[in-house]
Amino acid sequence: MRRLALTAALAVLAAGPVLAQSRPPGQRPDPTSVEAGLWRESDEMERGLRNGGLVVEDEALNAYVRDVACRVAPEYCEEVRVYVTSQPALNASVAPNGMIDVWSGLLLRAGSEDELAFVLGHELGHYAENHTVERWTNIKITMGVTMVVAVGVGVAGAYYGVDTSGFVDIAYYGGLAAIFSFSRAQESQADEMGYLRAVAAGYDPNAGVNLWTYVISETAASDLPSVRRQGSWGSAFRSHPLNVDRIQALRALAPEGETGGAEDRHRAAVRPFLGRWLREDLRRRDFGQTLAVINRLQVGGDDYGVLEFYRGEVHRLRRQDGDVRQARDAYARAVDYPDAPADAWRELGEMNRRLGEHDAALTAFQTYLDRAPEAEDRWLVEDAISSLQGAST
Amino acid sequence: MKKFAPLVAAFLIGLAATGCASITLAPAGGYAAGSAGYTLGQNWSDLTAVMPNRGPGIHILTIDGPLLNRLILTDGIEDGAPILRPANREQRMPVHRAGASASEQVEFVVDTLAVMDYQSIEASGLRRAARAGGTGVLFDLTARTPEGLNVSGLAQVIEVDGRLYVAIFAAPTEHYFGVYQAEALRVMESFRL
Repeated sequence: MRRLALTAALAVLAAGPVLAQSRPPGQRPDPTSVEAGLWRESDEMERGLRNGGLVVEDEALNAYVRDVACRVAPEYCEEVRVYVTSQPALNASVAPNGMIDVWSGLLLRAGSEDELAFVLGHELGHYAENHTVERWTNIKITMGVTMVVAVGVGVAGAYYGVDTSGFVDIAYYGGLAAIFSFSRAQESQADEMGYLRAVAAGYDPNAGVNLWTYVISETAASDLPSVRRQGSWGSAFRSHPLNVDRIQALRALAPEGETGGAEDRHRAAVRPFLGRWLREDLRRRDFGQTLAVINRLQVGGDDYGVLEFYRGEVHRLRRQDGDVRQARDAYARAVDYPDAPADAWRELGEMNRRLGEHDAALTAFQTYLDRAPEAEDRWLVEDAISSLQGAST
Repeated sequence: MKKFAPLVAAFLIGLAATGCASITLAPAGGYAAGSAGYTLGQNWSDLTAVMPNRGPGIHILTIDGPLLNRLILTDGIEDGAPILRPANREQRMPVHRAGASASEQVEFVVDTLAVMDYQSIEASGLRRAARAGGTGVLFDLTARTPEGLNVSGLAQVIEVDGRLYVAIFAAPTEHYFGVYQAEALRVMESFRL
């Protein structure tokens, strides 16, 4: 009976992968094909995305991201549509109809245009290789084989009078493992395509390694044990390879010591959105990860006022021991830079108030009012000032 | 059959529980959200018993359905408590903090709406609200749903003895908000303990 189970699992695992052909530029699917059905579904999703509240409708930002996509896949430039959506995690996706969804969390975390180019190359690799169609076909065949095997095992069990329900389960788990294994193989292939496309377009060969290395460090910095575990636990049911394996595969592709990279437009493109996206990241309330993001953004020394303000926000919201002081210190550093938002002065005042440093609080509140005379919360800050003055007299 | 016993039991318990929970009428007049009292100017439907993910002491009323108008009224929220219950063990929710500044109380409402999947939420028109011996802030809200519908709202936070009493009204900007804005404001102004 053990041999039967092994045969069942092997039969299921042997079902995939089934490879579709690469897509020539401009190709539309045959209207009667399975792919055409997937396109119609994608068109529907795209309509929802376009009309929804997630799309970041900024001309300059969209032009930048689209330009990077066109650089890594000039042959598909005319047929893909790139959308930037306001979603705080590091992610991007492509649909079979050429809709590319780039999450703001990716743009916030990408350390350079090279890293964005690598990710877009990865997504366009999925598109070029028809991975969605392949995956759909693989799932269909694998589940079909799984069902045949399960029925066969069940019939054999009935014939021999043996309970084979455990083996049927093994067949189904084998089927699922085969589907995920296929998905991981596609992701590895897309990484390779992303690398090749980005390098061919003149981007840094180390961009993928740099990005995944950062992702490992951010995962390790998470406040949540389940997120930290995700980074290191291999499983037959993962849709993507482990990041350490992705790094190893990309290192094998990059010639030793070779560096490069285009003129970096990335920070300039995302700068107007730093505050908004960091605020959205803070709302995930994984403060360890947000601090990791801020640390990465600070490496080049740009945008210090904004970044120190948000470092202060992390500590203000986290409220662990010592956070009031750390928030106060971060706000105090922020206000030394011209790009610090006026809110940094208000929060500096509030943290000083909580620390009992009333004179410093009064000065900071007053500076806030001077810098933001039309602020919506002016009366609230004036109340705080009156209350502090009352306490001092 | 023994294998299905837990499933059958869960189904029966679920059936019994849903039998108890239903939408009720909240007639015009006095309405109690725990220790917080309000006056409704017209009949509302009380969804409190059927809305998932609400924290203890949170009441939800509507007139035309929760997507077209919803009024959230809370009992006094204690230090460390959220308006919404987390969807899973590790989800971290915005919580009220004793000693929070008025700006942080406004932020608490905005962040809670973000958990409810509203996008691009903006609070504006902050004005003083002194009611029931407590002080607080009344403010306007704008947001979008993930589907792209523009939403307007009103919210009020009043702190009394370290407990925060929150009222939030949200409705599509087109038609619905304008129709019920005055009623929502009157309800908020009627807050008493």
